[in-house]
Amino acid sequence: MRVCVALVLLLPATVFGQPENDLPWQVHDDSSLEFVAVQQGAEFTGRFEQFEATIRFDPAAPQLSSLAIAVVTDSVNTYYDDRDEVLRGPDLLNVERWPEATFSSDSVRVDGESRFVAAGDLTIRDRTQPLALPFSFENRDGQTHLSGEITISRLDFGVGQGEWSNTEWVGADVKIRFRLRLESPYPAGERPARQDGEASK
Amino acid sequence: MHLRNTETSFGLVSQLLHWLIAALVLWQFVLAQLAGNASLFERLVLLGRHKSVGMTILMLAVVRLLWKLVNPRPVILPGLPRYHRALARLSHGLMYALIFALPLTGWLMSSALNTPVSYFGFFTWPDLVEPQQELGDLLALVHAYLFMLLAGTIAVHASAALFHHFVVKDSVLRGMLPGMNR
Repeated sequence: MRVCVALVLLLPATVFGQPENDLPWQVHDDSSLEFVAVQQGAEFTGRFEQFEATIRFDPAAPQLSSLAIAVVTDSVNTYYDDRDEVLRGPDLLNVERWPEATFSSDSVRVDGESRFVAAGDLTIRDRTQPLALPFSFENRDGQTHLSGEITISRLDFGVGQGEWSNTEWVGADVKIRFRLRLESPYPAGERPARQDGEASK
Repeated sequence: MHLRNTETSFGLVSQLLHWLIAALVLWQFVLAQLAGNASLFERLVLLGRHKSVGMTILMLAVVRLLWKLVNPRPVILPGLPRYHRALARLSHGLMYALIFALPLTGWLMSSALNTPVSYFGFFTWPDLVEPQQELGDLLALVHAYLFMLLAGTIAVHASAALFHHFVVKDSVLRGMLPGMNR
């Protein structure tokens, strides 16, 4: 009988998706969003200092996930002011016009042990492209990390107008690396298991 | 024509290294000047080339120093006033030091400004320091002042060579010209 109740409670969540009051993970400050780009033929690493990640994800029920990441484009930091100014400018990120870049997905599938792929949309400037974002979700040393990397072409998003579309001196490929340290939003520390019917409470 | 130096004259290798480095230093100056007045994108291109040429100079400087160490040093003209010879030694020493110091400060500056040095796109030289903009800005100044010192020294050196050739009419300049035995 208990099993039946549990199944009934689980069904709506499975069929209709994310329960609305499911709390997203808290994203620890010790999280990073880096990118590796190529300038003058040499790789350099930069980062975005500000971004907001709203992660609803349970590895036991990845089909219920939703991921939304909003990046403050003005917070780009390549440890070189002159270059940051160029990146913020109209030909690259144009942060005045497009203050945010976003990725959102509500479709996550399993892709091996602790590995998943989030299918969603990446928007930079005014361009939106579908993106299958691979990531790992791991508990290590009492910490939960969601991390991964993917290479995109900046020109797919119009990052590089005019002479900046040249790829000999500014490479087309940009590797994006993210590492989110997640903390459970639930006071007990342990995310309640969905199977007991409490997931939506 | 001989490859190695003798006690009285420079060999072909020393002569070629001298003129090759001289030409590249001049080219470096041109690239840097053009970059100063260029658009941001053109500056990226020009300074990218400047960095690759700079590393070429550094490698040639190493070869040149090693070659100098395993070859006899031709005597500076006997009969030259003592202070002339001292000035020649000083300027030669400075120029040797600067063809190392300029590429090295440029490389350091590039590392500090998180703009790693590619070698004509073939490979990337390792960064010497962690990114730190203040250090990079300081090194940019040092790089510029060292260049001024080099330019001044080259002016003295070239003037002396021309003075010897056209006024004193001795063999000093011909000694550095390939194929001209003095």
